[in-house]
Amino acid sequence: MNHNPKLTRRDFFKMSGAAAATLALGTGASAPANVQAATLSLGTHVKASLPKAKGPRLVVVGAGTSGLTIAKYAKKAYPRFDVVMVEKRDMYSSCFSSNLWYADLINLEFLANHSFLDAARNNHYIFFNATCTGLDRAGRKLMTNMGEIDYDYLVLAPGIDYDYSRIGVSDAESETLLRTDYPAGWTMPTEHVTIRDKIHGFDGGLFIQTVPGGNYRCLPAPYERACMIASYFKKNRIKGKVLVLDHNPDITIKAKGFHAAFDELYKDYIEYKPSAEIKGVDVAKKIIKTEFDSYRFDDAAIYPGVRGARIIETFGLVDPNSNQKEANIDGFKYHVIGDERVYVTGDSRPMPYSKSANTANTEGKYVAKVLAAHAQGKSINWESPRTLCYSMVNADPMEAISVDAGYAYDKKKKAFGFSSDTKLYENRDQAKGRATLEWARGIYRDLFA
Amino acid sequence: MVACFSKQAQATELTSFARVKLVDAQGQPIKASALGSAEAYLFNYPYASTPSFLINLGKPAPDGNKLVASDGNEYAWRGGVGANKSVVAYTAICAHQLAYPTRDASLITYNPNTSEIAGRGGVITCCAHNSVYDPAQGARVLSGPAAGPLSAVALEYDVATDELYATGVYGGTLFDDFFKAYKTQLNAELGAGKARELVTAMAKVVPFAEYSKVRVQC
Repeated sequence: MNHNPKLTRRDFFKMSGAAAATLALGTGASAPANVQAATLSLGTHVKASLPKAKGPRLVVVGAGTSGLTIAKYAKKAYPRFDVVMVEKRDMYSSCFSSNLWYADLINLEFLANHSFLDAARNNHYIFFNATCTGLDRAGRKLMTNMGEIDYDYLVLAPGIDYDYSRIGVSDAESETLLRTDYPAGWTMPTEHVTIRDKIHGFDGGLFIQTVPGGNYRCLPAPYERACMIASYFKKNRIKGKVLVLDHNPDITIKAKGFHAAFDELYKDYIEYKPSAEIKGVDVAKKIIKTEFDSYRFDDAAIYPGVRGARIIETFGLVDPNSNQKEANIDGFKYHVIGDERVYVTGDSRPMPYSKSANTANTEGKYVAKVLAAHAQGKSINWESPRTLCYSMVNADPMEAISVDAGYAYDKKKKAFGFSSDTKLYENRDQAKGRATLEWARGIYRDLFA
Repeated sequence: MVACFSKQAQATELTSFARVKLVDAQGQPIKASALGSAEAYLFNYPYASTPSFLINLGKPAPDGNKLVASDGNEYAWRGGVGANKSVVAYTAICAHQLAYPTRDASLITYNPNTSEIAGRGGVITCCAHNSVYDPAQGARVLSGPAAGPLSAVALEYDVATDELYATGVYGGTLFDDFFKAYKTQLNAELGAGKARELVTAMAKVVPFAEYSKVRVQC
């Protein structure tokens, strides 16, 4: 938008009814012309400043593991694609591996020294730093705060959002306090900074890490974090204990390996409470309530339920049968039901896959091929994503456990489950500790180089 | 899986590089019959920064394996060399996400006796993402996420002297991706622009234990 306070007649006619309707006016006042002009930028008909598409335009929303993989590999699979990555953050910092930072096994650079610009330049697509504000599927237009983008194909890979109602917190005041004071630490990088500061500044007492029910990002992560916090307390002789309050009846994955670590390495530092569904939090009194008990904490990372990213709901794409507000897509082809131009991938998918980086990365490579095939009027066979997931359970020395899982569709049950070639490696050792770091570096290379 | 080949990726047929003699730390020629089979050896080839495995499998590895490279092209592996046809060489850069041996550690290793993830010995494993390759069959992928085999190093064997030469690389190469992915790291390690220097005349072969302090097995 130009900021010329004078609204010309032509400008005025360009203003859509919708834009006019968004004018926030004081009661009975009429807005001065410059306010009306400024409001136009929220409306439609302003095109994003992008080069003319040189082939079918594939717009990817969300530069996380899923989106970055798809942008790169769709271009490789079908070079005619003109790929635009739309991402609201102006700096990358990865969620995966962030637990390792709490115990100083890595530094912030390990997580964040990866540039969106390099990923785009190296892989021949456009990085567009903008926030999505609307979607017109009939007209194939994505609205952003930086203007409208026409698409031929749209991939939404927005990740997760938190659902505080699932831990008995339904008033916005408490939710906001929890988000600020006791963040879960599985969405924004700024949460990682806060949590690390809590751990490193802990004066002793009880630190609570909660584990949600349902399919959360990512199954072993809260237990891994408990190990990292405990190892930090142990190493620095902090008189602290980590209480893991788990909604589930037992550790959700790699249970044997985690229990062994809890018992053998952190007997005095970790207490594990299963079947502890949270029914409410008194933020002021620092009390977490379960059905039968209350726990007073000195500090905490409170992980509520997980849901599909809110933008999926805003755009009217929620699967009515999903109890986590995940997307209404074809389970094999990933397109929105009834619309083969819009796809939803990564942690907003409704399939019961692990919400983890390796899953998103391998799934993204498959979806890239689906898109390339569709653009050429072909179709391809379904490929399972792969969940190869390391969990660091000891920081000194670095020791990890892992799982290597695939998925299979059971036609009778009409449901996905783990495939028969799934393997668990639950004996912690230093080989897997080193592999944990190299696993992450490999994914970063795959996304950015 | 989708190949992670860059546009300039080499084709699968032989890419000739300098014909170099494989020598030991003192610069004396390596004798093929003197190579032990209990561990792998490493030498940098064809570039100063690109490590390759030299392995005596302890048993003949016949040619005739038809393989499909990461870029989808077919090629034939030429088999082992030496008096026993048991000596093979491959680029030690994982075809999945480019893990490679550094001074500090290597996640990609040769496991002569056993491997947890492979359930057998005689395999090359990359513990970063559990790719397993069979060095007796052109380093074809046995399991895991790699889209294709490790690139093979073409070896020439001089029967008269029992000496070995490397002459090129075939089966598709990932060198361009490697240089791109590790640019800053390689510059810090070797000096600006040194990574792409070609090895000429001689390539120094050392036991794996001397090349990488920690060799991670899985």
